[in-house]
Amino acid sequence: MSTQLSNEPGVKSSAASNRTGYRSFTLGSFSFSRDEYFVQVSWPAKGQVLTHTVSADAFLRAMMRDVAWGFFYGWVNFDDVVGTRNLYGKVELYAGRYNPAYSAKGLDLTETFESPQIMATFKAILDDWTNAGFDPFAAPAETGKEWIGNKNGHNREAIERQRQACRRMPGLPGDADLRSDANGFPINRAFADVPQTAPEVHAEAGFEGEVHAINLFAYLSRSDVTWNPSVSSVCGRSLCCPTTEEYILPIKHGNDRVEWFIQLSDEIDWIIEDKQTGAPRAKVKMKAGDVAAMPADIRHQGFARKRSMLLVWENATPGLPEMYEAGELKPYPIEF
Amino acid sequence: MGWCAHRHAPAPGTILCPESSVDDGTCRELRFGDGDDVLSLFLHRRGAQIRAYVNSCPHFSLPLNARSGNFLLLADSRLMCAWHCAVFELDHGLCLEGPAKGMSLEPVDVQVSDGFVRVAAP
Repeated sequence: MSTQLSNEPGVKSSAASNRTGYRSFTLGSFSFSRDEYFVQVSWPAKGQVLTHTVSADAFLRAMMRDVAWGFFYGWVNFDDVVGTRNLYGKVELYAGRYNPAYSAKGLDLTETFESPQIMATFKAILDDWTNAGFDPFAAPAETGKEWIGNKNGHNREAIERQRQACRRMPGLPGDADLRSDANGFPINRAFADVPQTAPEVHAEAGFEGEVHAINLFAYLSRSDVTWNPSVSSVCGRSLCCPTTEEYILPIKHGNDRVEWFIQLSDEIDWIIEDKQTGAPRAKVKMKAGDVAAMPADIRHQGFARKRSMLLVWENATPGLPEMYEAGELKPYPIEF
Repeated sequence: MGWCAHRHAPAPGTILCPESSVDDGTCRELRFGDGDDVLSLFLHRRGAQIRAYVNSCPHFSLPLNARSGNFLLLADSRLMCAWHCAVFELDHGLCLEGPAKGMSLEPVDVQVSDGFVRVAAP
């Protein structure tokens, strides 16, 4: 059996800018820089250098998800131009690849990197460009405006938070902890009215510690981040990944498999676009109790004016992306 | 439930592979059973020490390698999960960074005798 040995190449960055204090970074042919308000991503195409400008707060929120999710499933579009595609061991970084205004004229660029290399670079960018007082994981109403201006310290405590995971379900012996005031998860301001009662479990003798139940609403009411699913149950390849959502999903997620969404509270408006071109496919307003299957050939972005609870149900079966790409599976789970 | 409860779990004393088939600084995957019910383990050698773990990332309970036998090994006996980039040190199996930070791989006790790696006796 072979083993893929992967060296960790150093992150390529400039010295801190004399003017703003931020470092600039290069990864392959791409370069990244930021100033008081904006991030610039540049790449060569057709003998010129193209530059795409993004508001720094939006860029950092997107970068935060891509780093914390480990490039997630499929495509993480920072916006309509720049993004990553997880090839599971390698990662594509692209600009304009899924935007016909660029790709039709050959002005796009896609480069593939080993996962450790691009992750190291993205973490370095996130670390350098996130100022003290700004939390890119938080809703805008729950963090400061310190993303604006010249470099001003770090917020490593915020950006090094990870996606919470469990082996079977939080609260089981030896598994992830349930959230509580005591372990740093106070009830979010939007969910002050959510009952915190816990279900009673009366297991047959011999099944203690095997039969389990939690108050999922109470668990979610204590989510400290937004647009960041946590794994709350694992059954084979079936993963329930609930999350609380406020403001705008910072990325447009391009699925490489079908994802099921179950709206547990409040509302989210979704914009659904063709994964390859960004052409509009649908607008979906999900209200509490609604269920939707996000097809495998779209990208989606959500908007929540009030923090809401969403259950994302993932099929983690290895090999699924290849089955969809080969046409062995249809991109949607049901035909009407 | 630990790996021993898996229906295809190798019994104590089972020969897993020749010691010489695990090169220093590499991982070797071993699969028991097939289909959806496979039990995947992997061995890692660091110098004279061979350790074994269940090949399942505690983040999404997926194998650490996306393609059979190919592991993303980093310096200092660290391994990155191919799916979502959790990084584990392989002396103890602890996740150092990434989406399973603070969680651990499930160890499999093995012993080397007569040139073979075997499942250790309980």
